[in-house]
Amino acid sequence: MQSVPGPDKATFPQLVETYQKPLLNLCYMMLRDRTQAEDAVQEAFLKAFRALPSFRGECSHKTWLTRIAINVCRDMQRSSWFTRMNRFVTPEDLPDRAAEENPESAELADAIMRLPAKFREVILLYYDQNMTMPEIAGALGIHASSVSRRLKTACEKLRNALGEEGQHG
Amino acid sequence: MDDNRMRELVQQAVARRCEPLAPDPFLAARVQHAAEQKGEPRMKKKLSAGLVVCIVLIVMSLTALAAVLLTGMEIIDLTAIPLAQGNDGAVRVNRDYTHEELMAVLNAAAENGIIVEDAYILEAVALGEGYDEEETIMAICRVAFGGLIDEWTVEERFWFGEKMVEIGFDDENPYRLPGEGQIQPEEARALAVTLLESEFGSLPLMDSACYRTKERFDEDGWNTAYYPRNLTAPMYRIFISHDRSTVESACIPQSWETYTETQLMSGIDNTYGYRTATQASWSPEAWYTFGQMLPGALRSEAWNTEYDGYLASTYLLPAEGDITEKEACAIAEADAAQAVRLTAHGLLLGRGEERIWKVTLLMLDENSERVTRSWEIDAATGEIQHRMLHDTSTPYWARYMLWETFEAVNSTIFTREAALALAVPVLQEYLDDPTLPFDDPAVYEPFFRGSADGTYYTINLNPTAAAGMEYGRCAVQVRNTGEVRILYAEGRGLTPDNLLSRMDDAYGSSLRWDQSVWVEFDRLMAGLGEPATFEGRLLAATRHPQASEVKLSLDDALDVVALDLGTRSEDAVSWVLIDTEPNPVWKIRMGTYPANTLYEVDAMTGEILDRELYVCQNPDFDHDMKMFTLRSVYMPAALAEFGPVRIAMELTVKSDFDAFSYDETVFMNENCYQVTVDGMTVTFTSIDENLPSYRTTILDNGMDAEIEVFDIPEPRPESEGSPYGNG
Repeated sequence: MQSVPGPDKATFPQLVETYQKPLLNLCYMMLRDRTQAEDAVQEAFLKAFRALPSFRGECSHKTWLTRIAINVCRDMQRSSWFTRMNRFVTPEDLPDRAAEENPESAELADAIMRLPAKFREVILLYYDQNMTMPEIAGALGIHASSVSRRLKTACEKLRNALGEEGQHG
Repeated sequence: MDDNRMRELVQQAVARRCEPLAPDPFLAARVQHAAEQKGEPRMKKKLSAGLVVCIVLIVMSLTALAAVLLTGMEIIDLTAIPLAQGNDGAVRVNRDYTHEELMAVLNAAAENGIIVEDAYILEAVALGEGYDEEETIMAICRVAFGGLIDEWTVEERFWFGEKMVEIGFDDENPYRLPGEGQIQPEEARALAVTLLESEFGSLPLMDSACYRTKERFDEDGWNTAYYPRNLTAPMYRIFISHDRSTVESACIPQSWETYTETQLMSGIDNTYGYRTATQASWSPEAWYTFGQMLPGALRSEAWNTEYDGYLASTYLLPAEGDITEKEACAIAEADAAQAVRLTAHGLLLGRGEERIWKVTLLMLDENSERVTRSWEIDAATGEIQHRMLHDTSTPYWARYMLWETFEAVNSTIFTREAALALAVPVLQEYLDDPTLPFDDPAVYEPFFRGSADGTYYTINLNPTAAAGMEYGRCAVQVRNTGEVRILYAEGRGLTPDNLLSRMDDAYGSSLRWDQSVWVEFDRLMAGLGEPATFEGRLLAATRHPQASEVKLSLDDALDVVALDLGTRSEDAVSWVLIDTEPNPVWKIRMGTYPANTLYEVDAMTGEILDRELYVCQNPDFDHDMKMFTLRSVYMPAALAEFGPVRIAMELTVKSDFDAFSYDETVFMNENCYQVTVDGMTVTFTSIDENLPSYRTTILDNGMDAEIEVFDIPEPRPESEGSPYGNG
């Protein structure tokens, strides 16, 4: 819980600073493409900026922004250009600037990125973004119970994917 | 693998995978600029509040007319499932009801006494929109079965799982029922209580006022947990294997000796459960317990300002003589004429001897916009004492305390105004210009970014459009201790080195300027003297003709490169028309993956003159000025500026697909390569047995290279050759 004031035009940059990197990571994991992720984050903040007057604090800023970003990603995933691209081969080719991923970590990241979108969303929001079930429910526009159910299925799929490849167990 | 371990692994994997992604420091300003360029957002379609009220009344009245009530399961089987299946295509499964279908399902439920009170669904109803099939069915089940899905019985969950398969939401039912020879549900429930009571004595486990039950059945056996409905009673768990050979039981006491307020909040959530979805739905009883235990909690974060507000508040239990929470909500709702309520909740607060209901309603106003309003209502008389519209500047926690408490706490926050007042004199002194009008809104527009702990602000001071290009951007960080740190500061006046950024501010991103802006750029640059920076020199050396002077329009040029790449022209990231001999050239950056591609296209003939990978995620490696000038201008200048090692790295990486996947950091890593330079020949000698060595001779002022690969290791299995060709 943060004591940031409610967002308005003046405090908007504060939201961008706080949430840009988490949303960038989220969008990248969703879209599997850096340029698309950057575009998605910009588009999400643009939508958020234009929606500022309608944000009344019924959920946290993070939930609100995440919901917008997820919807932008979904829209982009529906675009014909996106669906034509085979994006599964690309993450491995992303150069690391600082350190190479260890094989297990890379494998887990790959497995997450291969999950169907609805399961990937809950895994990323719950485990990586540290959102609670109700927050995820708010962000995705579904019920907390659905989040719980999707999360369970997603974990099973993740374990199966890793298990089948003989890693992580 | 437990949840915490899973979280740790996922965070580690995502962090490492996303490490190269760097935030854009000017994103906020760009977004605001773009928003202003695009104009005002379109209004949502208007809703007639009267119409909504009519719909709700019709639904409610139909309930009264129903003669024979169907169960939730029957409604779903007879209405929800056929409608969900009926809207699917031959191949594609539609996951949403249309508005008409949604209304048919909700009406069928309402006719049989199942009133779905769900904010999202009510909003969809009010706005004339459709809604997710799965969520609609689940909402009906929540009313029919009671509680969240994990509180449903095993049979109810299994049934729900079957319905999800029927509508195509799931491929298979994730829930199971016990088979032959396994413990059946009724027996399992009785057995669990009997075994726990034999161990721990008589327990009110089956009393739903004392415990919530969660039962799970899987291939190992039955797992049942009993969650107490108060913070002091213990929780019980029991596992019984199918053959009854293994029974594991536990009594888990709740410990509240040392806890933070966030742990307390979590405990309240677990104990009282959610009525809808968030803290906003805590019952008055939950708030009372929270208020009682908060003084004993450790503060989780020094900055947690709302903590002070909670601590200064008195949360009460409803008592005889008080109007009820429902009545208080109804008073508020009646006061909010012309609005449609989506959710309502109240908590009881003390103000001296007075008992005050703080009621918060989430509503749709007459413009179909969501608004949050709160009321403070005397619990004895029902008199409204205070009304509050929660606007965008109101913290969400204002609704959980009295208005005066909120105001007192809120005033202690380090304000933007105070931060700006600290920053202005420091910036003026740094730029040696005490007249710089940072506090004049006609000249500078401040953008504030705060730390999560509210102890500092980063302030971007961007010149307004009205101020023209006379003033530059500044960025400072100001702490509540008075410390001011200058991150970036550009004072008054245009120079050849700041012209691009000033025009970026004035005209929007230079990535996609209209060509006439580049022509204006040349005009201004010509009068500004010699640039001092590498970037300035490149821009000064690049000239821009009018688009009308060439045969190939921008659209045609984009089509040429899109065709070459097999993508869409909409994937272009940047473009500029550059003057050169014999013909002007379109420089276009396409958003390809894993690297972008920079094209140079003859603007008279359409011939592709150059095609270069552009590692946009690494601006230190591929300079962003490459987008704005010709390769024949950039490479010689970069060779002179950065020296042969950097240029050799770039040429080597881009000529060898394996090297390309390493990035230049491997070449720079002294544990991987030893670098020696002999004139224009740079040798990268591998000291890692998995990496080859390279000897790269830079030719033609950096435009080309001769690359010898030696000490080649065993081929890496994933290397399948470059899609861009080698060398």
